[in-house]
Amino acid sequence: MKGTFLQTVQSLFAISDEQAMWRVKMNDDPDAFAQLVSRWQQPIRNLCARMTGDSHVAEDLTQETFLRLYARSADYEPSGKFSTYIWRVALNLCYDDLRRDKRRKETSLDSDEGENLIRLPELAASEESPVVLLEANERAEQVKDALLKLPELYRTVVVLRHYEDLKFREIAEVLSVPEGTVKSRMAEAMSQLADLLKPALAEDQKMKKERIRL
Amino acid sequence: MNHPSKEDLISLLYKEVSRERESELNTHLQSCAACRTQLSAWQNVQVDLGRSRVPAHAKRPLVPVSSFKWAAVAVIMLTIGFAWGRFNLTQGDAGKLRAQLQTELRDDLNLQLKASHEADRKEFIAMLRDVEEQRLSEYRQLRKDLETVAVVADEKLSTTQRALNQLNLVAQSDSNNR
Repeated sequence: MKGTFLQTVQSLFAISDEQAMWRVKMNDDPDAFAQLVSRWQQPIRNLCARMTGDSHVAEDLTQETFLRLYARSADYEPSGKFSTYIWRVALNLCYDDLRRDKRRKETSLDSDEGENLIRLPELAASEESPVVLLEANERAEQVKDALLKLPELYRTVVVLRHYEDLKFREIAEVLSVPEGTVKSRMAEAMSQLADLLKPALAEDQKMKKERIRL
Repeated sequence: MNHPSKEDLISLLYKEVSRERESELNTHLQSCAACRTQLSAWQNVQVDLGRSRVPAHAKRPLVPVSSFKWAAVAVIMLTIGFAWGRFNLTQGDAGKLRAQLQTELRDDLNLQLKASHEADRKEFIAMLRDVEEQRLSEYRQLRKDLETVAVVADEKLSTTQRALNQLNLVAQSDSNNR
């Protein structure tokens, strides 16, 4: 409650993202840019991590997003929402990286698949027993793999809606497509994920039974 | 049976439908096993997606309050202030307050007028003093100049007198010689 009140008071005195970006554009204001970075660093890093499945790449892409934002601040038009603008910049960088990565994998003889992927130490409450924790981690790993198997367009919608909590209307603005298209992509993505996770779930249950038998 | 679209079901899953539509969809789901299965499969995926959250996920950036909210706060404060003053002031209090304010204002105005008058008077006296000093200074200078002229004239007169005497003596000696 105290934190919420403090946040409310802080928010009363804070400038909006659009105002901050305008100051960056007009005066190269470093304080305004620092505010934008502090507000958006984590959401952008999360988006990049979900899209690429690689925490190191996500870190690089986040930095590149802010570099691009600063370098091209003169091109910023304050007619739309800043959030839509920054999501778009970050997503384009993710798409570029995924394309580069695809080419790298095609030309490389040694596949480094799985080497740099995000481990998910954050999964499950620490109070849980090791067995439960292990199972939860395995399931989370399966979910992450399934997400990475989705086509980029579907993955984008899932990440923005489910993890970044954007409304379908907001996603439509970011992707410049009709809201109905976003919803149908989301429906398709959910169906594909259900199919991808079904065999993993069956295997998981089989392993559980074997463990119980032992 | 007329099934709802997948877009409708996904909106229902993420609670982005109107109450009316939600009610319609729920009614349909009660009687349609196929749609229930579809939605249930998605709900399972939704639960699974929730298992893999990135650590320290900053949900949404701190969204600053818009100027509209500032305006709303200002209006509320003004209204409260006005209402407080309006309902806590009786008629008698208002009369007393008005009388007190009038006295205070009158005194204040008198003081201001007096101060202004005094300042004008002082300025006028100072101006007169300056003029008098100027006059005396000029008088002294004039007198000094006149004295100088008088002294110089006296000296010149004496010199001329002496020269005339000498000339007279020379003239007398010439006539005696003849």
